[in-house]
Amino acid sequence: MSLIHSPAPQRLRTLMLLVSLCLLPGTVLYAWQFGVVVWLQTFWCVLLALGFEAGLLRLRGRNVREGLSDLSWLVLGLILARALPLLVPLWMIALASFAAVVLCKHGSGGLGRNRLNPAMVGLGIIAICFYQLLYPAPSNHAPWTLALSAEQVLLQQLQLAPRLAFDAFAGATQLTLDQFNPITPNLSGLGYIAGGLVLGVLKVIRIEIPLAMLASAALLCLATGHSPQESLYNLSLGGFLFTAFFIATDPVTSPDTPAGRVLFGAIIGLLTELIREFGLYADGLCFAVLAANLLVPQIDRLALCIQRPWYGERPALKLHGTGAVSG
Amino acid sequence: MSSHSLQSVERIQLPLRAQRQPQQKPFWRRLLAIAAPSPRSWHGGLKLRGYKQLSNATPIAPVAVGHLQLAIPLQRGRRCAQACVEPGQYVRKGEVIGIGDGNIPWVHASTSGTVAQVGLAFAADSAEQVMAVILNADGLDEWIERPVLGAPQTPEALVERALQMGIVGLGGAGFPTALKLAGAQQPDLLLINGAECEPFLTCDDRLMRERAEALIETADYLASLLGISLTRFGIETNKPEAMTALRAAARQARTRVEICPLPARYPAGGQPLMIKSLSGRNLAPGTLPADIGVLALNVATLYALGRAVFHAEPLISRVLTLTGGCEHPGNVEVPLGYPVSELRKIAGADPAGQLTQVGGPMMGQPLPDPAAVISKTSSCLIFAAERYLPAAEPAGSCIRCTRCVDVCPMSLRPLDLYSAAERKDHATLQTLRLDACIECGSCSSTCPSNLPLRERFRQSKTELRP
Repeated sequence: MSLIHSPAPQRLRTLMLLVSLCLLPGTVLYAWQFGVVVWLQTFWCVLLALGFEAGLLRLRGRNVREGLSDLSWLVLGLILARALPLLVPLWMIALASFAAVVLCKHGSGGLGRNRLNPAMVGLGIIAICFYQLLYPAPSNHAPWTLALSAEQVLLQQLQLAPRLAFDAFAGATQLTLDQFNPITPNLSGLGYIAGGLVLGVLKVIRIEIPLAMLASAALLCLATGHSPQESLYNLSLGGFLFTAFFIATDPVTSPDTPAGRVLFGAIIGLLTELIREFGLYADGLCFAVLAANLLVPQIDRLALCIQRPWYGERPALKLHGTGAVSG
Repeated sequence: MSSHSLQSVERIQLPLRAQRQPQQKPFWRRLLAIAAPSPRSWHGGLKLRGYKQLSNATPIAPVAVGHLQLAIPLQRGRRCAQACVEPGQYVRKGEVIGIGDGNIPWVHASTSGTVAQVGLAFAADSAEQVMAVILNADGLDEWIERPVLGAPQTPEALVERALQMGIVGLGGAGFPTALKLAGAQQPDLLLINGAECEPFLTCDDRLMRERAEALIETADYLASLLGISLTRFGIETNKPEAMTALRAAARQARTRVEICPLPARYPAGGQPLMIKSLSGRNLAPGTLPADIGVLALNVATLYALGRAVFHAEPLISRVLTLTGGCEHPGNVEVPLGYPVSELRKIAGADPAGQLTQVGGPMMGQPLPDPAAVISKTSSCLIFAAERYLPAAEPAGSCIRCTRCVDVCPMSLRPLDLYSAAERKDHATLQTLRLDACIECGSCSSTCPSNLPLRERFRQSKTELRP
């Protein structure tokens, strides 16, 4: 029984469980569009995240049961599953999970100490190292994976069957099934918005980050001469909505002050648009988030300089020598 | 400092007109307040479940002493009065049993009886045993001959009276009121703290409802003696009855005492926040209210001071809330040194209850020993507290959710303070203003990872102290 009058969940486990639940609507819609491959990938990612987490806790001499009880591995697995492109081989999923859990999370000292978002580190590593193997991945425009059975997906993931070539496949099944529709709506985005808004209302995530991200990306599009419809449509492309509501809002790797979080969201939005426009990658979200994560300490420091407590002088932060104190 | 005080006096005239409750502001005014916060508002704090209705319905009941053994504490923190009685000596109610030097309040027998010994005893709100006079009550409860003393006519006489009558701050800190009065160099504001922002506590509420006239009279006397121009009572908006009673008493006494609402948000009664809400003055960390021209007293302290001033009655009893899992919750006026075990019987405490909390659930602590006694600063006993308080859980890791930053009423950054405290990085602790922490525990109770933030900060504060 808690003394505090507040709708926000008060325990870490509840918090993580809630995030996982709010991820579900988007994932279900995504699976509806893209087929069983989504569920299989989710399964692998969660399983691997759990395995790596348990192994690392044991290696680090922590209480494994206690360490797993916070469910952070579940959230990480679910997020990583949705961040990775579909139909990547299992070894790549394992590598991404390894990078996320072992290198990023436990390499920095465990939960709450990593400066980079673990899921984005996992994705970033395989995006850089295996660019040729990854792309072209099935895109929102052509959910041709829907036709794959679980068996076919498994053969692909375990690399027991020759890799499906997009063109051949599209020619064989997509057109006959009449699913090659260039304006297949990004249904999962709606699920992520719904989940994200629930989390925002319950104050699990800070809603200013996705709002700033969406606003800055749309405004940059407008400023470069796109029409308003295009700017808004742009927001539904790729994993933008998913990233805005579930990845950029990771409290560990986002700034501590409201002003700082707005700046953080805006930076991600701008970088994403720049990478999409001029970069090598079709979806620059992962690198935009990682770059903004690296800027968090600077953003925090900046916000600390601006803000002053209501009593007495501003905190004696040594930014401009002794001058700061006299103000 | 004096010019600063003068400025502040001019400034506080402005918000006098708008004495509206913070919650009743229309939406657009609240939006504006975000952009330009009023000098009297503060950010953060917690909305807590009150549990006040458990114990605020019945009047304050007296407690009969009978033939019990009382242990009257002589010590509070580092201040310890010297016992001036011998074992076997007969003392009457109100007789001096402990004498201090210039800054230690005297201690008086809270009933008549024979001194058994001077030894160690557990006070309900201290973790270690303290010096106490152990007294076998004779059940007669016979008063000492009280000299007919008039009210002191000079501030110096008042300070002496407060010291000799053993008055200390009854809000919880236990600071000798005499020192507070002596330190107040020409205050221009008298602020009476009736916020009682902790859940469960209703002793100040009942006191204000039932003894409003005495409170107003004492406040008036203090104001006229010390040359104070403005007196304000601060009461949380969840105590409308107390506010009505005090308003009526003030009207009847034709005084200029103002009854002001405080936001019903924990910790509205914290001293810097109470001063800010009532006057708009900022109590910087490390300074005393006297430095900004404020004399701040708790209502219970004010009442005790009134008894001392007008009736020459020392502080020998206090109003105590008995609440939680018990059959007869309510407030009792209990003699100091009364054993908690007897109060359990009086309240009909649930025998299945494991934990008895002394003080409120936020600032208080578990009863150190079943044989502990009531001291001047114990304000509340919550029986079977484990039913109401969140169970202690193992601490996890900080996920930087910054809820602690949101709720910190002193605008600190508890998460950074905590990591600096773990590293024993004293320079950073000072930069982040650990000294401003009022140890209200808002951060600890809101942390999803159950980090012991407040306890860590307490420990670091003692480490930082030279």
